[in-house]
Amino acid sequence: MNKRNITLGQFTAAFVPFGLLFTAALVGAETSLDLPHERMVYSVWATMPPMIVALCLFILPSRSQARKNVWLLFWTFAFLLYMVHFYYAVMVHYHASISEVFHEQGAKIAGSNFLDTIWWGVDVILAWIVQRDLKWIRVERLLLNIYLPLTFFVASVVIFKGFVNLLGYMMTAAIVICLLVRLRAWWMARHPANALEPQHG
Amino acid sequence: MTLRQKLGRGAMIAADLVTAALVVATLLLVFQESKWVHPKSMNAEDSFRFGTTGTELMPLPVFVALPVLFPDQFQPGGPEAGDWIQQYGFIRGQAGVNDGLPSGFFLSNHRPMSGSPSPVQFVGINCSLCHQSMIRRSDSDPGVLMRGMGNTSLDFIAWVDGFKTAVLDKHRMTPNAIFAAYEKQSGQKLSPADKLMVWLWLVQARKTLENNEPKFDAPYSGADLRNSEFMPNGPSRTQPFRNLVRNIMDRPALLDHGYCKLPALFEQQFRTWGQFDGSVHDKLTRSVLAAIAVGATMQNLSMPEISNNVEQSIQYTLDLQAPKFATVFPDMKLDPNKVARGAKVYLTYCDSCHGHPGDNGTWVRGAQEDVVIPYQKLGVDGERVSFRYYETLGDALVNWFPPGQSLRPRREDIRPGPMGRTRGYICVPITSAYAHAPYLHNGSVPTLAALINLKPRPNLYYRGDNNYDPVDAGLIVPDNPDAKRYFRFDTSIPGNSNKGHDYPWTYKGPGWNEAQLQDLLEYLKTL
Repeated sequence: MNKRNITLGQFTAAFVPFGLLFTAALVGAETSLDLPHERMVYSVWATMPPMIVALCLFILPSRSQARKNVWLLFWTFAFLLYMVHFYYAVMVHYHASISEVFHEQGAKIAGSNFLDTIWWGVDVILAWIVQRDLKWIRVERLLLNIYLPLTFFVASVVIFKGFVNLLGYMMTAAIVICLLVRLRAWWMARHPANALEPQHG
Repeated sequence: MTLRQKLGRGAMIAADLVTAALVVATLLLVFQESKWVHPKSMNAEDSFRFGTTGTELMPLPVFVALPVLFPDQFQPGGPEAGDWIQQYGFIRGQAGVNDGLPSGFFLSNHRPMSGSPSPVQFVGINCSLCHQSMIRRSDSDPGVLMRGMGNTSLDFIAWVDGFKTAVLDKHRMTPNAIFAAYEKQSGQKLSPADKLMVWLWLVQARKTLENNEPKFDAPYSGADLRNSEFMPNGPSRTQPFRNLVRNIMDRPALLDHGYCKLPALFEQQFRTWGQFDGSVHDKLTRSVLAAIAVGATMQNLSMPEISNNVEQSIQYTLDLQAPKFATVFPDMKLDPNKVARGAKVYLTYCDSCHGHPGDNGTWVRGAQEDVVIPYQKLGVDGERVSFRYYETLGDALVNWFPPGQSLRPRREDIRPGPMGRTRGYICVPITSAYAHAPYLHNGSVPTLAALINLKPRPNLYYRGDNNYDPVDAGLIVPDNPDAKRYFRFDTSIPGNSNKGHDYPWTYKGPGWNEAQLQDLLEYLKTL
C-alpha cells in the first residue's frame, strides 16, 4: 500500500460509495419477501456504479499514480460487490449447483458469467500484487476491459428489463464519452499544431 | 497541516468510520437473520401435525386480524352460523397445543415462498389441514379426531377466496387496521420490525393477487363463497391439478372441473402409485407436488428443516391406520356372522381390484391392483382425468425442476408418461374403509352403503359439516340446507357425477342381492 501511496482521500472516495452500495443492496432487500433473490439483484446493480467509474478511469488518458490508485480501489470494491452478487446467485439462488446454473442460464450466459468472475478476480489480484508495467498484463487488462462491459451490456440492456436498463445505458454512455475523450487526447497528441486551431476556408 | 486540511482529514476519517460501521452492521444483520429461524427437530407425527412444509401464508398478526376485520368474508353464513373455524370446516385447536391454532396451521419464521428468515412469525398450512378430520354423529357430539382421514368439512378453496378478497380490499385491509386489530385481539404490542414485515407482506401479497386477477379472475366474496354455482369445489374437495397447471405452467385452468376429494392417507406403504388416477409414483414427489400446489417452492422445499418435515410426514403416513370402527363406535357391535359372509362377498367381487388384508399387517395384492382402469369402463366421472394439459403437465412438472435438483421427479414417476397413459382411476388397497367417506374420487357418494349400491345414491344434497352415520358408514347428507350444511352438491354437473363403480351390482339391477350387500358392508367396516 505504501508504495502506491494510496491517500486517505483516495480511499475514502472509493470506500464510502462501496459501503453505502453494499448496505443498500443487502438491507434494501429486506423490503422483499424473497430476500436472497432481491439481494442477488440489488448487489449486481450496486456493482455497476463503481465498475463504471473504474472503467472510465481505465479508458481516460493520463496515467498518474493518483488515478491508478483510485482506479484500483474502485475496481476492487466493484469486484467485492460483484462477489456478493455471485454468492447470492450461485450459492443461494442456484443452491451451489453448477449444473443448475448452466441449466437455468444456458451454457453461453453461465459460461460467460463464470469467466467474468474468474478473470476479474485474477485481474484484481494481479493489480494488487504486480506493480511492474508488464505487457502481458496490459493486454490482459485491455481485453478484460472490453469483455467485462460487453457482458454487462448484454445483461443490463439486452436480457433484463427494468431499473437495470438505466444502469446499462449509463455505463454505455460513460464508456462512449470516455472513449471520445481518449480519442480526442490521442488526436491532439498526434496533431498538436491544428488540434486546437479552428479550421478556416 | 492547516486547520482546513485537518478538518478535511477528520471528515474523511469520520466518513470512513461511519461507512465501516454500516458495513459491519449490515454483516451483523445478515448473520442475525439466521437466528430468526428456529428449526425444530420433530418426530414424524409432529412434523405431520405442526411442521412447516414451505407453505407459509401470512404473518401471524394478519391471521389473527383477518376474521375481525372481515366478518363478511370469514363468516359468510352470518354470525349465527358460527365463527370462521366452524364456517369453513377447520378443526378447532386446543389451548396450549400448537399455540392454539386450528389443526393444520403451523407457525414458522420463514417468509412465504423464499423461506427467507423473518423476524415476525408466519402462519402456514401443512398436511394435517386436509388429511385430518372429525367424526361426529350429531351436532352436539364432541367427535373423534381422525388423523389421516380426508377432512370432510373443510371448504378450503372458499376460504382462500375469502382471504384473497380481504387482501385485495385496499380500504379496509390497511397496515394500521391490522396492527390495531391484532393488538386488541392478542393484547400484545407489535415491534417496528413486526410492523415492517406485515406491511411488506401486505404490499407483496396484494401485488401478486392483483397481477393474477386478469388471469385467474377476481376471487368470490361474501355469500357467494357458499354458492356452489361459483365455488364448485365445496367442502372436502380441492383441485390440486388446477393449481399445478397455474403454478407450474402459468395457465388459467379455468375450465378445469377435476374436483377431487381430500384423500385419506392411511397405510401409504401399500400404495405404489399416488393420486386417484395413479399419476404419481414416488412418495416424496407426491408430497412435494401437493406442497407446490398450495404455494411451496423449489427454493424453500430444499431447506433442511422443510425437506425434513416433508420426509417425516411421509414416514408418518406409511403405517398410519384409522382407529378400528369398533373403537370409534363402541355401541355399534358388528355381527361376526355377517362379517364372515361379507368377507366371502368381498373376495368374490372386490378382491381382484383391491386385494385384502393378510397376516401381521400385510396386504395381499389383488390381481388388478395398481392397474389404471379407464374411467369409461368404470362409468365414473372423467373430468379429473380429462382436463386441458393432462397430457403435457407431466413433462412440464419434470422440467420445472432443473437437472440435478434433488426434488426433480423422474419422468417415469409421472403419468401420463412412459409408465402409461390411460385416463382412468387406479385400483388401490382398501384400508380403514369407513374413514374414506365421502366416496369415489370426487366425493360424490356420501356412504359406503351407497357406494356398494346397497342403498341408492343421492343425486342432490347438501354438504358442509356433515355428521357421520355408522350404520351406512358415511356422511349424513340432508336434502335441504341449514347453517352447517350449505353447499348444494348437484351430481348432474360436470365433475360431480356419482355414477359408475357399480360393483358388485347396480342398485336393484341384475344380480342385486340386498342380504349379501349388507354382509359386505359389515365386512368393509372391519377393514
